[in-house]
Amino acid sequence: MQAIEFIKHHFREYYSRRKLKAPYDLQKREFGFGDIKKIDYRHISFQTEAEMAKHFIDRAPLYASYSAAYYEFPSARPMPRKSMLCADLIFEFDVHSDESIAPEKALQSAKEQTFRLIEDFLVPDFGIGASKIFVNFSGNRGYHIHVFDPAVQNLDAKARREIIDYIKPSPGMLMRAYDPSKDYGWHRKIRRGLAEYFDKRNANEKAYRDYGMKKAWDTALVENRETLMRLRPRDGFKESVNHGMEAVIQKNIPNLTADVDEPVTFDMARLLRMPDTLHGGSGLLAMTVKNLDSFNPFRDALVFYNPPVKIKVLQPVKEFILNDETFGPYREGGNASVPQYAALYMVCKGVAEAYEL
Amino acid sequence: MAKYPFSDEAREHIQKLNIEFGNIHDELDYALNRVRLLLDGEMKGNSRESLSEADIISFPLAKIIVSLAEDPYLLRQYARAESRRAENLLSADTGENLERLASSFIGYEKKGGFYVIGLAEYLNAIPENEESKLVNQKTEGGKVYLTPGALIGLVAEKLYRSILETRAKKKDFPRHFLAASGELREYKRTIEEIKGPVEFAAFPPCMRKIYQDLQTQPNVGHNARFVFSTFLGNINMGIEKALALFSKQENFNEKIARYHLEHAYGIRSGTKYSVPSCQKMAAYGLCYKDSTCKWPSPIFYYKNVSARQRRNAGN
Repeated sequence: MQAIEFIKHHFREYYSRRKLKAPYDLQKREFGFGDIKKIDYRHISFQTEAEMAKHFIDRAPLYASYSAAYYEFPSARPMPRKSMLCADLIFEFDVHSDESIAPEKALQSAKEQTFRLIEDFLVPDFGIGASKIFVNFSGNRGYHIHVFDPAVQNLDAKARREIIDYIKPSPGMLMRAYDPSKDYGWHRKIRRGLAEYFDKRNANEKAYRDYGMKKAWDTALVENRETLMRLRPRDGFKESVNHGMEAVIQKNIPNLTADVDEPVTFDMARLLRMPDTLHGGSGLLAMTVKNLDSFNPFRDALVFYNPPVKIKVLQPVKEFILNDETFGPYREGGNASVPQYAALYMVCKGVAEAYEL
Repeated sequence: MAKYPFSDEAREHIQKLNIEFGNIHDELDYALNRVRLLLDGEMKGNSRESLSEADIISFPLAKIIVSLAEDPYLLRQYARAESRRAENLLSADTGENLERLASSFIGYEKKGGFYVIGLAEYLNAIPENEESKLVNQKTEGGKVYLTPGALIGLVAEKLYRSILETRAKKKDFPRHFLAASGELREYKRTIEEIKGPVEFAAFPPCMRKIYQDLQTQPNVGHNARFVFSTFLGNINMGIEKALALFSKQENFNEKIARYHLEHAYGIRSGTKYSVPSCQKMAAYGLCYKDSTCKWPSPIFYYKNVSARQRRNAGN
């Protein structure tokens, strides 16, 4: 049986069975859908929840997206005619490369990034209440963080870029900014990083190697220790000090920044995976996560629990875990009877085909 | 008030004057002169500036005639110059005056030597320079804590943006206002028009450097090339001529180079890229400032110097 036929059949069955709820301010949002690509057609809008739900049943799309932006005329085109009113603030953490077909480990790191974004930036620095922050599992490879707060909905694209620069600054930017006389924000973080470096090299003279530094940079840092910790020279630091500083900053950055996917945040017209819809690349449910700490998408985002399905394996599949159960490994050409969710997962991943519905 | 004609006080003062546009003549000339001085970089907010009562009214009048000229670029240039002037004046002024003036633009709270404002308000009016970046500021609980210097930058930016919003409609003004704005357009044309061959002698040091590098070095960096393309676009050099300047590059490919140039010139998208400001040039490591640099952007340098050269040649 054709993979797409199989997937659409089950997606349609799901959308008929579960009444899809309209997102907040439905009429002002743009929708986009796809079967082959993530978005085959867009500029769609709905007047009512029923109209939207019907579209899902009729078309059973493999991928469903909606805009974080609110428009006066969401289906108008080209884009400027839509007349954007405002947009939710969005962040995305995506898993890019992982060998296994169910990349728990990589998703775990996206989860840690999500926590850092919320706990180190959104709540303490930006003053956004935790009740206004929603974490959505994207259905396959990552998390979206939606901020529904009037205070940030009106930020323009430039302001959003500035937010990115704050939570994910480049080492060069931080180096140029650094002023030890200012005991707050990033200045303080860098100063701590430098202090830690000086402690380390006091204990071990060769510590500079762990930082990927040249000996000369280390010497320059030590010579300028006073200025580095107290006062910024009027004309900046000399080059070897800058190199050393940059190395220290570089070393600290992974623990201090959140590695968001930038365009998602500043491209306000972008379409995002719609929560409560199925993801055609996994058969998992894109969903709002209530307790991120304990959330396991490979258990909690499964929806197809009907009787087992007979499948034919199209390419070698390594072991993977779904619903706390281990599947595989499977060899190419092999047959298996697996729970419905596992069948959908493998068919969506393109590694198996189903013999029956 | 003459120093800061955009303050609430100045506005109230002007309202009390009950001005009738029909009776405004000398003041209009004065306002026209204000715009010219600002565009020429001769009114930068030095302490030596002598000011009079006429400077208070010249500001709103200047905004009107600039807006009547219906040239967004002129409006931006003028707004930037007013904003720079204000920034310079405020930097040399007392904290008390700064605070009074800032209240005309921003609702802030004073706290431990900082001026505290809402994060969104700051981000939506953030000045375009490195010091203003959020990484430089103290940001806590949705508030940004600004130093006096950062507050000055924000006031200047707000002033810039408020001038950009000036919308004067022709039908609301008497004919001599329209004449003044026409004169302004004409003036702008003379300082901007690029006649005859492109004048290499009027290139600012940074562009001269890239130009020379393009002729003598096989691999000039992407940034330098792009910046140079925007510069050529803005001085109206023809694409063919511009292409020739890149032809000595090792990886020169006419099709690709043409594509890039057309992109920078705005032929493809309809939006011409503006030349980066001197501040940005410095951040890219492309600034070769010398004593002839008196403008905030390489393009102003070119326009002013080439205009001066033409005037001198004409005399």
